Amino acid sequence: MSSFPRLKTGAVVQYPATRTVGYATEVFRFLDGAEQRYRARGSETRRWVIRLELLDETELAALEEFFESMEGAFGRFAFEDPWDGKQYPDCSLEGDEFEAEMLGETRAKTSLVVRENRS
Amino acid sequence: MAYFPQIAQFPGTRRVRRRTVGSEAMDGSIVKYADSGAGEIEWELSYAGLTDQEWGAIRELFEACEGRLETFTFVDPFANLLKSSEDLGAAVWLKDAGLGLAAGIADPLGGSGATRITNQGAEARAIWQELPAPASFRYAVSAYARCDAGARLTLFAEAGATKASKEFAIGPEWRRIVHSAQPGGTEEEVQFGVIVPGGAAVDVFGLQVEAQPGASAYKRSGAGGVYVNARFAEDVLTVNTDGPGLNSARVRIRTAG
Repeated sequence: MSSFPRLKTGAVVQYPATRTVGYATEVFRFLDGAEQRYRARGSETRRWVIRLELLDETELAALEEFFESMEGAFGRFAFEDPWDGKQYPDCSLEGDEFEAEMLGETRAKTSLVVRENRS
Repeated sequence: MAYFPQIAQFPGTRRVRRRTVGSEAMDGSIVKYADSGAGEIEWELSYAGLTDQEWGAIRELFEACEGRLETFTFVDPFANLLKSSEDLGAAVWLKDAGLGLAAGIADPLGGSGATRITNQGAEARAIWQELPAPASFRYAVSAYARCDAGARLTLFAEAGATKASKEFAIGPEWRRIVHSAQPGGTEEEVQFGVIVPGGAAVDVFGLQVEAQPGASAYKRSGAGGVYVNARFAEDVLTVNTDGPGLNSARVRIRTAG
């Protein structure tokens, strides 16, 4: 299975980086104020926002090649959480668009969102 | 064939779009399908300080294409124009008979993407790729190369009868060689490649062609960077004249891809 590409430094993300953990809780509220809650999903879902700046052309090309190999949000890959090193074997990109801004030579920026799949 | 003039500045934006059709269930699982025919690439080119002549070239193309109606050739100013830059055995690469290729050689970036090209004959032989790009543009042809025994390697850009080539001495250490070439003329096909001298075994990596005078960092390529069916993304082209002979504008170009 493919893995998310690393920068030349070996890093996956740069500051500021964002990680979210989400649950899906369904809540029914009754006329008397009581509630009934249940899990709509069996476990939490994780999401990482990866903003990258000051990329050189080689790094940017590798990220774009990875996006294309995944066919946008379609493909699945393993992602190592840069916070704790834990491997998430089934993840996808969240969007179908890869945007690269070329601000100057070796000064490109882009952003990708990785989402853990529920299978 | 009409083509977008060789005018590019920073900043520029390139967007690659794909389409995934998905159905999400209540438990959060998703069934997905890739719609491979719906992909597209869009460039947003920002210009400042364009001369009247430079802006006129863009405007003339826009008028000739009647906005979004007709297509033109767009040479991506940010891309490695070659296809399959690390697979010299791919069908897009043409080569003279008697040239042997061995892939999987250690490359200068720490991978194994280099190729050993062995010329078993006495005469110089070439490996090249033909791109549907205008010969009037200036290109930077570059590669990393080394040869244990030392050799003189030639990079070239050839269009019709004109050939712009440059010879480089290479030794056992990796060296990045760059040839700034402008074949010239009105041809709309240009051949870019490497000539290996007779009897030499040369390791080559990172073959790259860019539509600019100098080489930037190597970009591994797959589909290349010349798009023959590009279109303007809008029917309106707006220019700001900031002073005499100073124009600024933003142009969006789109192609299937």
